[in-house]
Amino acid sequence: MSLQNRFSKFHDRIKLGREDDAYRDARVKDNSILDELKTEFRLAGYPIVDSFLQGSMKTDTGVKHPIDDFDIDRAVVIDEENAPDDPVVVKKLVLKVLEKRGFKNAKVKKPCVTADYINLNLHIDIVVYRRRGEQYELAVGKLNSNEENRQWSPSDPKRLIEHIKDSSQYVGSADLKLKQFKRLVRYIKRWRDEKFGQYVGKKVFSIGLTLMCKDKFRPSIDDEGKVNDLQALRDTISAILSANYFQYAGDGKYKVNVFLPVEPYRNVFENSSVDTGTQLYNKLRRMLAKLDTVLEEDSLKKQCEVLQELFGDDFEVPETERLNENQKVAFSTAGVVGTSQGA
Amino acid sequence: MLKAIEQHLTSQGYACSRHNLGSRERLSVEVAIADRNIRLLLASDPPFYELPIFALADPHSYGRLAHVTIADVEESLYGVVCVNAPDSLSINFEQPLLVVEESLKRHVSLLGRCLADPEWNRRELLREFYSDWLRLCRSSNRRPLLANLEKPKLQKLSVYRPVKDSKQGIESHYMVHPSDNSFSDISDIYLSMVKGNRQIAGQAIVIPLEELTPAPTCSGSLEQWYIDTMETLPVKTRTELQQVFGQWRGVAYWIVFTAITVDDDRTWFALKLTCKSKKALPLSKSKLQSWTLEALPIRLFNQENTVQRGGGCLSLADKKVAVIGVGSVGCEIAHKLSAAGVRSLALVDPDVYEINNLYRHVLEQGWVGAPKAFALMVALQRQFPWSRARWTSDDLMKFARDVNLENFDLIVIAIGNPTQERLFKQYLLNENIDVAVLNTWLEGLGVGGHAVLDVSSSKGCLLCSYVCQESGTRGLVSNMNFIEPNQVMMKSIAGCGEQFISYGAASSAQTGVMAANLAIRFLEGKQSQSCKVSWKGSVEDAEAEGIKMTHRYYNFQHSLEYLPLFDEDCDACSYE
Repeated sequence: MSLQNRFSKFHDRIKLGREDDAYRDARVKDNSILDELKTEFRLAGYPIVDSFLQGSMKTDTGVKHPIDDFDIDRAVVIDEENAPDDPVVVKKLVLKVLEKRGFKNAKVKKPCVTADYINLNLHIDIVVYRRRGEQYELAVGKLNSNEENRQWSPSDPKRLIEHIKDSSQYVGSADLKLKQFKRLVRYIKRWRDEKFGQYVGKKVFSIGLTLMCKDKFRPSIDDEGKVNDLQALRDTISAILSANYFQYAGDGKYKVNVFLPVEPYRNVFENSSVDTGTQLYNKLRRMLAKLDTVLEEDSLKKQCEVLQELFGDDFEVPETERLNENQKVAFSTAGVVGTSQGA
Repeated sequence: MLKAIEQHLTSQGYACSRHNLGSRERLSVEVAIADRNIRLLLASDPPFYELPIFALADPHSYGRLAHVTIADVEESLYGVVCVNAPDSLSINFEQPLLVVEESLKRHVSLLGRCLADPEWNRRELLREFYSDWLRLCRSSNRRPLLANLEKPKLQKLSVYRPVKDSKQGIESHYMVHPSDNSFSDISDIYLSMVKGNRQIAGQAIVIPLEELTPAPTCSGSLEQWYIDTMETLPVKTRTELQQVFGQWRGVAYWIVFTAITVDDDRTWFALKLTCKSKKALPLSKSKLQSWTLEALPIRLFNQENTVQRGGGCLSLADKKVAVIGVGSVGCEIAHKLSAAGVRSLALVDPDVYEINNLYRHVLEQGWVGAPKAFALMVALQRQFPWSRARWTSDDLMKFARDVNLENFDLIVIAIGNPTQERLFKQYLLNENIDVAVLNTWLEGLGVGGHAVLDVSSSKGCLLCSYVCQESGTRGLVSNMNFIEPNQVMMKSIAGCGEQFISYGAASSAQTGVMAANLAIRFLEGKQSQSCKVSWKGSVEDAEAEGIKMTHRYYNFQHSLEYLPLFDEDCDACSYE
């Protein structure tokens, strides 16, 4: 069994998709909350004209957190002509629905309304957009924000998703390369969850990691088509560290900057501290060194031991070396695949 | 031009002069070779698209020279020197002076060796014995006597006339009766024998010679050569000729001689003796007086000679190969395996030959409606006289269950159906059947084709080429493919049941030839390890159809190279 096979098994353990069993409760809650939001908004005169998922569920980069809750990132859209001038008005409607359903810690944050479900490990973020043609504007403002800080802020959530899911720049096996990119994002997010304390970890935003990974992604598929996630991860991390995301702040410290590639083109880490940037930089460097060690190591067992240090126990270490561990046949998960073969 | 040539050769140190020969002026060159002054006459006229000929003056004054033929040029005898095979040179016709100079050098060099080294000259005369023999044959009798002879032993065989009114093909030749019964039942030769279409013309006697002398220089010397040759036969052979074959009388004898020339090369040549009344085979000069002798061209038509001359390999004659799927790829493989000398082919295909198949299959249109495997069997046996191709209309799995697969040296699968091919592989694993298998397929739109050789005693199997390169699991499509899976590749002209993958005969032929090469190398023992091979074509048509290609396609640079097959994630191989 190859190391790639080990990565594949690790990925199977950590990945979280909307249709996964583990996400079933969250999905059910999301659907029912959405139904209630639609009713509430309609009664208030702001009918929801569209809704979509944001975040990792939409970009297929979700991971199971070892400790924390599942996330729901839900966006609802109203038409500009029906929207109130004050964006906090519609956010209050969201807050009302969440409170009515017994969420704890429900509160209006600047870009969203957030809450935790009492009986489930479930965290929910709901954002509201108003739409004019193809243009989206995000409802920004807290309950106590003054008028200047309450605004409909230009935003382009759908193009951001398209950007992350775009495979048009990959030549040959484009879908395979996009899938490798998504796996890398999951590996890095799991690494983040393992290596950062809970406090700093929450500040190493997934969207920031995803965008860095997207822009500096270095696919690794050999000429025979064999996929190599280890090499791709190593090369991508190296490219991230060589890029200009980390701004030296003196005294061995760094500020991290990652800008959205769509409106409002803001820095995802705008309000992050130097401590967050420094920790991220140093830990990425240590990960790169570890990955280089793994690449030079011949023993599969030792390779997996190092990778387990990076990614936690979900990256399994085999008891023996590579031969004869896969006596059990692993079959394709597809029932049927269309082929181009003939004779 | 002649003046320019003279000036050039003179400038190079040759003694040149011009003479009138008949009605034409010719250039003459005097050269000293092996202490003798020799005169060479430029016998060719520009432009020079072949190496110009220099004729040797007074050829008889040098004795018998190899590569020199006596010819009449403008009523004088000259020696025509053969310095090369005409097609083996690329002539600089734009620089005729250089061409003449080079030709002259070659003539001088060859004649120098003939004159300075008599032993080499003698060996060369023997080496070209048959060429000299052909010059003795009448120009009207260039159609060679076909002789199906395997071994050089003294024997008497029947000679059959050509089939009446036959103008071409094997049936138009005189034929020495085949000494074996290995011909295909439907080959021209066999059919003409069994149908009685050929009449017996007389008897042939095969006489092996232990010592060969150079061929006579002219027809007039043929009788003396014959007498000299018969007198040098070993006593045992002469006795046998007199006591066994000499008891029979006839008006015609075909004598087929055979002897070693040089370097263990064997030559065969024939002589026809005819007489007005029936007489015994003449073995002395006095007995020969009433006979007329005629040199005959001969062509050995045995398996050894014919297969090897065609580039085939005798060691393949006894190999047993099954070709399952004789569509456009499989038929090419079966054809090339037969051409390589494989006699025992099992052709397996449940399909019937259809009009749709015409433009990418080797079979003629007369076979429309016939089982493909049967039609191909007939076509192969008709072309290859020693073919023992057989056929069945089974599908892959029925064939697998009905026959002992281990009786085959190789199973070739060319059905283009990954499901059936994986099923077959699993069957081999489950039943613990040890047989080498070659799977081959092509992809649509001319992007390429692939073959996998699965040798159970070596690392790597068909399932290695199906390992998902992302997850290491058993995949459903080959990881060698150039086209990404799950795209609409089938075209449809007439709806369900009429769908097809678009590819041309060139693609299927290329795939078939590639797979056949691999099969032949395996059967010859030159490729004993499991391996994979692909050829990569143009992406133009696929891109025009919006078809997405794999990373392997864009990075593949090893067309027709044999690459290792083993994949460490293959569960079937890790059992070993």
